[in-house]
Amino acid sequence: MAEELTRSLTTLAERGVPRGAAAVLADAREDAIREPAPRWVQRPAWAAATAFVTTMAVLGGSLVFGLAMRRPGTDVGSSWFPEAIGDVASTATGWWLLALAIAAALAVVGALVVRNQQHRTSKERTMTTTIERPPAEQIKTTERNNRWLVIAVVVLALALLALGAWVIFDQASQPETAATTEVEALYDDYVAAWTDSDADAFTELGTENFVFTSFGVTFSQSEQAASVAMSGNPVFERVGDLVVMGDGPDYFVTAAERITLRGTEYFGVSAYRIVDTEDGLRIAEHHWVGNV
Amino acid sequence: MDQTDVSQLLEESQLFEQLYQPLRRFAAVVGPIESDPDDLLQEAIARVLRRHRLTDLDQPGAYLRRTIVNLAANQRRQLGRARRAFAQLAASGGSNSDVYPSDLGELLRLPPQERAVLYLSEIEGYRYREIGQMLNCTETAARKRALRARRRLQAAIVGEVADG
Repeated sequence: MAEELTRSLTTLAERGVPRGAAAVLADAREDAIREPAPRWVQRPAWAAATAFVTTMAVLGGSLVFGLAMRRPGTDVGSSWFPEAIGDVASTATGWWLLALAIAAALAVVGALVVRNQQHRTSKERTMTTTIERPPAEQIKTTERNNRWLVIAVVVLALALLALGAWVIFDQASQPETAATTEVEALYDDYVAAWTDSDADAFTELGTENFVFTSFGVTFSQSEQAASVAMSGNPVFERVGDLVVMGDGPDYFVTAAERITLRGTEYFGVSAYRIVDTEDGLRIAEHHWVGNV
Repeated sequence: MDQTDVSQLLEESQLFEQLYQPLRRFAAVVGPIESDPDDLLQEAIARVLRRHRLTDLDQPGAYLRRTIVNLAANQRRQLGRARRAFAQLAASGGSNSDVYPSDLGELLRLPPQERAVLYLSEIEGYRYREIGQMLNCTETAARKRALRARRRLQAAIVGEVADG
């Protein structure tokens, strides 16, 4: 059998009429020039969809991580952000909408790239079967259009990733003791009630068992409300940021304050215990230590 | 085209001149009977030239052999139906048997990879380790392919003898 096998292989190897090395190489070089290797591989639509979902998951994860580091309802914007976008992005919902818009644009452009490449491949295949080659100009135009679409995909993807990275950075740069918008709003309303000498508003912002202490003297809510009504419109100015401790339902807040009353300035520190009630945040205790 | 390009092309041509005969014979063995060996070799060279120069490859002969086997396997799949029809014609003693001896029919029924291993070991005298490196498989895989191919041919011969 070995002899027969050798004979068969030799016969097979010598079949046909050789064209010669030079002719074969010349034809191969011409083929190589006419059909250069593709510079990039066409990706199907499912790959674009996968990229979209992955990007959204990364961005969503970064937002969840950032929000988990802050209390609910945190402002996510920044003062240096363009005002128009900052207004939209002033809440977590705004950021999501912005991210969705970029991701949607990314998906559309990506789909156009895929469609463009499929169209080109189909065109070339059709023309090849009729023994014609697509005009070089047509291929160049398609390649030029594709190039811009690819650039758009890259830019949008980078914008989306930059958005997510910025959110993480913004959240990470906030101190843990920074106040939430609700606490800030409550403090501002409380101070406004003092300034306006508005006893009703003052009462509404405190709990039923609200107490105010100053220099060791304790006042109930009704007593202090009466005092507020006759306070003579003091002007409260907070020095620095509110410092918040606690994760709820009780929050301990301190504020350095400058109070101007009838032309005289007083300095002190207020300590508040804020509780989360069914009606929202309310002040349960206010302790003042200062020079008034 | 500058002088460097011209000298590179000349060097490439000289290299291919040395490789042409053994590669053509190899392509004739592994390629489908319907395709011309020079066409198969030309397509393999074109594929390589799209990305590299022949002179840039460490082992151009081995690289081209691997490309030829892959192309032959692709063509064999595409010509599957035609191949089955040809096999029936060869078995019934059709006109093609006037050109090629009928014992070639069994050899042509083998997949290109097995034919490649048989040719490289029986005719060109390569060891299975070298064949494995050429065809991008292990030495064991190359041996198994050769063994499988010989068994098939043996079974076919025994079958022919039994049919008488």
